[in-house]
Amino acid sequence: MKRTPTPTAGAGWLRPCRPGQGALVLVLLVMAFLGISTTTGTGWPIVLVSLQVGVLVMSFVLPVFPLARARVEIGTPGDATVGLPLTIDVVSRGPGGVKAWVPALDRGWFRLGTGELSVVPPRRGVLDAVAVELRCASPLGLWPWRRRIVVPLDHALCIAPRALDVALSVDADVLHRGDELTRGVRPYDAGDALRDVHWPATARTGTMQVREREVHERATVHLVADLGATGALAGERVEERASWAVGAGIDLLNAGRELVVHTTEGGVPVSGLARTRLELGRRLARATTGSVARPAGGIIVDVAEALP
Amino acid sequence: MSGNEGRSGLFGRIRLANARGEPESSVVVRLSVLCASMVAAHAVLQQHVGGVALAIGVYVGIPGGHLFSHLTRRRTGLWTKLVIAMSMMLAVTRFVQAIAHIGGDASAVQVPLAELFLWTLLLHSWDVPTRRDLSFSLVSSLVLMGVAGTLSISLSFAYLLVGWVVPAFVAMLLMHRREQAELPAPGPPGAGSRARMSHTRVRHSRQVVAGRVVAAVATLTAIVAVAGLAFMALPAAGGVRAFTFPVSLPTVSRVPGGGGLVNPTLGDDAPTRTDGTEVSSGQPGTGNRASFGYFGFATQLDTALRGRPDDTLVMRVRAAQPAFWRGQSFDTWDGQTWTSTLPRPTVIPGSLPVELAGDRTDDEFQSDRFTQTYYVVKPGPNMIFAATSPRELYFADDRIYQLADGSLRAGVLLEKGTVYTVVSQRPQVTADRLRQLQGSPTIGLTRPDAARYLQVPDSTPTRVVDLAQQLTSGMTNTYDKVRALEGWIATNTKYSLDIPALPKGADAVDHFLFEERVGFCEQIGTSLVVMLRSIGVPARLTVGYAAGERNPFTGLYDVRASDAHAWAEVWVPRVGWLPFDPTASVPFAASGDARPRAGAGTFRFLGGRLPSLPDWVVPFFAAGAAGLGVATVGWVPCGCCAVAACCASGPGWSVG
Repeated sequence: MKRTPTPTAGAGWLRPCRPGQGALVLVLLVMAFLGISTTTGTGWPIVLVSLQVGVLVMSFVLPVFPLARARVEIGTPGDATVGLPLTIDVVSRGPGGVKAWVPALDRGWFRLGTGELSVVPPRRGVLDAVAVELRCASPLGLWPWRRRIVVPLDHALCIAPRALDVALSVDADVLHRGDELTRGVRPYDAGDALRDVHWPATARTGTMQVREREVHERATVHLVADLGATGALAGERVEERASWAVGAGIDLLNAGRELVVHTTEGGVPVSGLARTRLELGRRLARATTGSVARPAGGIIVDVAEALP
Repeated sequence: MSGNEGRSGLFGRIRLANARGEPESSVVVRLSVLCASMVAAHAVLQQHVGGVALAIGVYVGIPGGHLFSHLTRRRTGLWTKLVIAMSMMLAVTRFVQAIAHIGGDASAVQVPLAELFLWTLLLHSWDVPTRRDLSFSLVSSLVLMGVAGTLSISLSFAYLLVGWVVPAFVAMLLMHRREQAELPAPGPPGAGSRARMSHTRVRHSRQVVAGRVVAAVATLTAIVAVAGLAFMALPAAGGVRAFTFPVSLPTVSRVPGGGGLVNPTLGDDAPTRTDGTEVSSGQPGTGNRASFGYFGFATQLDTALRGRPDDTLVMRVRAAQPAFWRGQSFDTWDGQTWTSTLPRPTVIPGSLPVELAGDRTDDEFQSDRFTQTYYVVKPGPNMIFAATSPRELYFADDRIYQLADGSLRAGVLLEKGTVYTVVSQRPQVTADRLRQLQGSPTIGLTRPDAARYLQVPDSTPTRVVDLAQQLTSGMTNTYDKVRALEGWIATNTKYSLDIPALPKGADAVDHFLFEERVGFCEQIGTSLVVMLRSIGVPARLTVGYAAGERNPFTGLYDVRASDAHAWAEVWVPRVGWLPFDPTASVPFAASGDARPRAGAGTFRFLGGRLPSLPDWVVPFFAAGAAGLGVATVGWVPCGCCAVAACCASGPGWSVG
């Protein structure tokens, strides 16, 4: 899935950041020394002021060059999960002293270099390209500059939501909502669950009868991943619903259910089978807020009901 | 926001600000900061700050503190902080006690404040476990360098400055580099790429190290170059208004015969007065004149005397502008010798500052205060030098004498280390305003003073008077007359220190103007004064020092014995006495308002001090300079192109 990328020239405006504390302290001392020199007539503080001006100017100027020359390329696998480590390939060229941050893939800065880097995606989504923020204050570390470039990915990276621990398969209220689909009873076999014993039939026949579960367990479950109308919920709430949906979907797939996932992608309702966890994760990685097409019947697991 | 959130936010921020960071394990970083701190502390101690105890504490305590901090960098150090806090309170208490009796003299706070800074650096060095603490130490050392620079008046501070800049620069580089190294970095597959570099010992090849050293040297060179440009552009030190008036008197050796002139540098050569009011200028048994002694600093000035003082540095003067540092004047001329016949000097009563009497100048010519601080380097006459029209004197002795011509004398010998400050009020005049002052040249002078300063001996040859009248005929103001005579002297005579002896019985002015036409400042100044007097313009010969060479680094004028000078002072109605001199260009106060740049005259100053290079070195320097130029020419466009390429590609904020 992964490829070895080649570095390309990144584009992006160079902008100075706010000066660091050290630079501000130097500016204050420059003003103090100028004041002292003016009121006392002493000459050496002017020399010190000149040196500080030299340090400040070069601190401001020098970071531009490594930042301008930096080249970055990033290679990723096709799928990832929010909060779980992911290894990406970073290839960079240019002088040292530049640090980078990929907001879509990690929360922290790393030193620009070439090799593998472990990152932890903070948000779900599908990425065709990633913005890389470069920052450099070298060599003195007083006044950083930043440059934000967009690095295209050769294939989309789907970042699935982190699955919540949802146990629907033992939740009778939810899954046995379709009990009216039970077509008959049969004699008890060793290993049948006690909750499947059909007590009226047992009383009528005098032998232990259990519900015919075969039809029930093969029934399709409709997972309605309603992430709310656009702008209706806070971002964290949307992500929580997505995580719950993934957790529920995984639980249902583990229980052997046929799972139809109903989502909205880019404002368009989309419904489709999710046969594997990977497919489920990709569907929910693409899911956005908006109205979801709800099925007319069948077993429905609605995220909006579970997390109103 | 709930109260709980607010509290946690506020306390959280405070806690975050004071959070103990990762301990700094790099010995090189710590040593660099230690070196910078030690140099800064040494620079302050060099300025006679603190006693022996503080010096020992600094030289032993700061390295010991850094060693202690390094060894205990992983401990919380609560007890250490407690002891440091208590010691700091003691130091502050001591500082408050020291400044309690100072009053309004800001300069007197400098030394106790410097001691407090030293104590701060010393105590802080015992608790610098983290990089941030070391950064504070570095900033403290910079403050200390500023303190030392404020107190320093000599060029030797430059060595300490270089000794501080290098370790401070290295510390800054290394601290930033280590900060970068602690970030996670991409690594080879399966190498644990998020491992922190601080836990990994990385060995760099010699090439990498050499490259980094070259880059560091290049960066430092660039910083110094920019600093040089800034130095050229910044205004010179020296105040529009000074707040500090340093005074110091290392020894108190009373001058016998109050108010008399004593000049130990003249030895037995000094002429003496015979009226009994003044003691001998020479000290008994002092031998011959010192090489830096000037025969004009005596009660008589014989223009027939030859021999100029050498280049010995005699004093330093802190002032915003150049001026004549006036010593005294002579009023009576006998054709060869000047004599001061002024009455006995009077003792000036009062405490600091001593208020001085001066010329009555019309309000429209009143000037701003012009502060000068004199640092005596070589013992000399007990004259208190001052720019024209001194008004206030800050001197560490209460016996000050003033003559009728405004000259000041101390009641003590002015030994090395003596410091005094004079505030003058130089008339604010320009050539145009002086030309507008018409009328009799003696307006404002008393009759005795007019007679005193118009005195010309009967023996003065007629051709001297005729020349003066001829040159100033038709002129109605004093200024034009002075300029006309100055112009003639500048055009028709030559300045030279090597002149033949004055023939016996000859009139010195006549001999200079019509025979030799070669002379030095005494002949030139005397000729101007005599010619002015001969046409009815009051004038007198004044001796003192020319401004001297301004040291662009200390901001002080280095006055050498060879700067001893004689010039004319001319009475200008409604203005007062103004200095005129055809040989030294010192501007009027009003035309010298613009403050010079700090770096003005740096190349000339350095050029006279740098040793001349052997011939065989020059080609190497030329080749190095050429290489540097080529590298610069090649490197700058590449960098600019790279920047331009980035900027031209447009913003990249569309995907986040």
